[in-house]
This record gives sequence, structure tokens and C-alpha cells, in this order.
Amino acid sequence: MRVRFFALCTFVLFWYVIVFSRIVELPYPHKVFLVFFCLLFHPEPVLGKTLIEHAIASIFRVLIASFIAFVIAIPLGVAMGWFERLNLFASTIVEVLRPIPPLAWIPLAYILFSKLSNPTQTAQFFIVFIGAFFPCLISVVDAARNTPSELIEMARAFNANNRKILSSIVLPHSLQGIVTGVRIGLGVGWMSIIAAEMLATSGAGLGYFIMVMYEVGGRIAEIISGMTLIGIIGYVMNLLLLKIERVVMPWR
Amino acid sequence: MALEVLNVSKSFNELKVLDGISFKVKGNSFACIIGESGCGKTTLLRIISGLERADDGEVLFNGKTVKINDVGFVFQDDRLLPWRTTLKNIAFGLEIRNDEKALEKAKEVLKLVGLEEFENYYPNQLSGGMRQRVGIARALAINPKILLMDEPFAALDAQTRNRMQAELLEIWNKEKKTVLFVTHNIDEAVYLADKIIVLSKRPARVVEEIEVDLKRPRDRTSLEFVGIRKRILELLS
Ligand SMILES: Nc1ncnc2c1ncn2[C@@H]1O[C@H](COP(=O)(O)OP(=O)(O)OP(=O)(O)O)[C@@H](O)[C@H]1O
Ligand SMILES: [Mg+2]
Repeated sequence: MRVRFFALCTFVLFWYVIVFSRIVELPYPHKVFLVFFCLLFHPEPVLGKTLIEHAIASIFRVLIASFIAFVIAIPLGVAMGWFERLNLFASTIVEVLRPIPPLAWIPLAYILFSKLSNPTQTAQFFIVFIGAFFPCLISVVDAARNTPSELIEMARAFNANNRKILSSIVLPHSLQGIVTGVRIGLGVGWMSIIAAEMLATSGAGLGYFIMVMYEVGGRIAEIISGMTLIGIIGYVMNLLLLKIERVVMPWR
Repeated sequence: MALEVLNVSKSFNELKVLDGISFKVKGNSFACIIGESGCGKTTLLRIISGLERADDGEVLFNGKTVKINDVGFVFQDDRLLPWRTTLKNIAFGLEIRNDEKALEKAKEVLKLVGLEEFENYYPNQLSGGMRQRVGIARALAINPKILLMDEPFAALDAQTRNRMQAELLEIWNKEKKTVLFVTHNIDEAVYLADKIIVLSKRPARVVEEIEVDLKRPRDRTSLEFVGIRKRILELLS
């Protein structure tokens, strides 16, 4: 704990040094700090929304789109881990699509969905979906494939059929991969939504907020405030999921 | 009543592992199979249980092919499910059979192996000896006619091992079953078995079947006990 406190102090001190030295133009930490707390609860005049409201808009998008990604990736991952043929088939496609960063999908997504009633929202969901889907899938496939053959043989010795082996051996063994996949998927999804929001008018969202603050004249304190909240939310999400991991896997 | 292994042979590719194994074990008796490491003991048990197919020969129980549901298997490594508690691990085989009283029956067996206090422990919270007991309980829970045990005590220290052997005999006394117990520990075989089947080096053949007529509990230092040990030692070398 003391080391963590010391690390934070060092960071802030470094920040002051940079401001004093005038290498770049940057507001003082305490000023940003004030703006940050003010914006949390008081609407910022240009967009008329508090930082909290922007954050909720972004979180909402990430949760919906990641949820859809996980609902597909988890069963597909377990199935790919079990059926070698399916794995060969699906992983061929996955390995081609996976190296494309979610951000590279942004322009295409905005064009593809431009004819829908809510093109911006759909495109953003899609980008988060891409960001959350692949890390989760990879993690689940890996865990499912690594199910010890000894345990599967044990189940066979007790006359378990394939369905029972899948549900009572492969699935629980994959749980670690599922939880890790959800954690990493949400993290990537969170990064993706911020980027996706920057490229289109979405009314609310932390990425959108930062972009607008830039466009109306480089309001650095506001921009850094937005960035800070993005960092804090990402950190808390990760922490929360690590806690959940302990609850769903008490044998660890 | 008897378990009969008739002329069973098995090769893995070029490697001949079992070479015409034949023996007969009386129903409800305790037989030990002894042979050196790598001679094919596990392979033989897997064939008897039906997990592996023999290239040749057959295995009969009371004159009929062995059904996998007749068999309880205790593995060389305990193969417990890390995400299940002691009780749920013991109930595993019963759950596979969709037994509605799975947990009740598992609790009975839990008592039999003396692990009531550890009902809600996960395998990684148990000692090696306890884990083996859970493995034995899991096999007993489905009330099999044949109990196949693959060096269940090999990983235990000498003291625990001796205690587990005595406990196993007690359980076997209560729950009459045909037991086939694999070991490469001569002392263990002589202490436990009604009959010892001595296997040769790979490819395994039956070198000799020794009836052990000593009264239980057996005295490991008695003249007869030591005599049988010596005989097996000579057969193995
Ligand atoms: N599935 C398999 N594929 C190929 N070879 C195998 C297979 N299973 C066993 N063998 C080989 O068969 C031989 C006998 O193995 P087995 O496990 O039956 O020996 P064991 O008598 O149980 O040995 P230990 O006392 O060390 O447990 C070994 O040489 C092993 O390499
Ligand atoms: Mg073996």
C-alpha cells in the first residue's frame, strides 16, 4: 500500500516538474483535479452533460455489446475446444480476422451500418463486439482444449457420454478461461468504445466528450479529466472481475 | 461367480505390451496383480474395464462380457475434479447414472472412508491419503461388482500406506466385491491379496498365480509372510 501511495506521489510530482519546465503546455495537477471533480457532478456547458452521464453512456454501450460478444464466444469456444474439426474450421477464420485491431473496423462499420435507423449506435456496438469477442474466444478455446485427458478418461470409466463429459468436465475446466476471457474482453471493449465514440456524433460518451473538448479549442483540463475517468473505470472494471473470479471459482 | 481374463493380448503399434494374459479371480475375493513398472498393468486394467480394446482375447464376469457399469475404477493418480468438493466428487458416478439419491448415497460412502469432516473440502485442501480415499469412495459409491484399483497407494508414505491397506480390507469386508488391485509393491500384495498374479517384464505374461492362505490381519513379519515375499521376489528377478 505504501509503495502504491509513493508511486502516485511520484507521478504527480513528475507532472509538476513538466509543467514548471514548460517543455509542453500542461495545466497543473491541482487545477485538473478541481476541474475533474467539478465536471463529475456539474454539466459541462458545451454538451450540457456531467462526466458521470458521459461515463454511463459509454459503459452502457460496452456492457451491451460485450455481453453479446460473450454469449457467442463462450459456447463457441467450448465447442471449438471439444470438436477438433470445428476448431480447425473456425480458427482458420478467426486467425485471419483477429489481428485486425478493432479500431481498423471503425470506418467500415460506419459505412456498413449507415442505412440502419441508428447507424452510429449500431456501428459502435459492432466495434466493441469485435474488440471483446476475439480475446474472449481465444481464452475459452485455450482452456477447453487443455482439459486433461485423464479427467475425460475418468468420466468415461464412470460411463459418461459425450454430453455429460462436455457439461461436467470440459465446461467447468474452461471456467478459468471464461472468466479471464470476459475480463480481457471487457478491457479491450472499453478501449474500443472510446475510440469509436471519437469518430462520430453520439451525443454522449467519454470518447465523444474528449473529442468535442478538443474541437472547441483544446481545453486540456477537460480532456485530461475525461481521460482520468476512462482510466479509473477501466481499472475498477478489471478489479471487480478479479473479485468475481474468486467468487465463481472458490476452489482456487 | 468369477472374473475371467482369457488370453488377452495388446500391442501399441510395434510395442507388444500384453502377451496372452489369462487368469481367474473368484467372485468377492481380493486379487493383486504385481509386475514391474511399465510391464502393462494399467493397460490390463483399462482393457478389463472396457476403456481400451484388447487385440485378442476376452474378459468375462460370471460368464458374460464385463459391462462398464459393473466396474468401479480407482486411478493411479487420483483424478478428482478440482472444482468439486469431497462429497460432490464421490457423487460423480452416481450423477452420471442420474441417481436421484446421489448425494445421500455419497454421504454413506463418505462415512465409510471416514471423511465426514471433510465433506465440503476441495481436493487441493486434502492430503494425498485423503484424496486417494475420495477416489476409492467415488468408485465404491456406484456399488460396482468389480473394483479395479491401479496402484492407489503408490504415492503415499509407508505409514499412511500401511494404514490405508488395513482400512481398505475393512471396507472390502463390509462391501463384498471382487477386487483387482495393481501394485508393484510385494509387501502390499502379500498383505492384501487372496491371490497374487505375478506378471513378467514387458510383454507381460502371467508367470505364476500364488494363493495366499494367511489369516487376516496379517503379520508382515511372520515366517509365512516373509516366505511368500521371497518367492515373489525370485519370480520377479
Ligand atoms: N495409449 C498408449 N499408447 C501407446 N503406448 C502406450 C499407451 N498406453 C501405454 N503404453 C505403453 O505400454 C506400456 C505399458 O504401460 P502401462 O501404463 O500399462 O504400464 P504399467 O505396468 O501400468 O506401469 P507403471 O507401473 O509404471 O504404472 C508402456 O511401455 C507404455 O509406454
Ligand atoms: Mg500403471
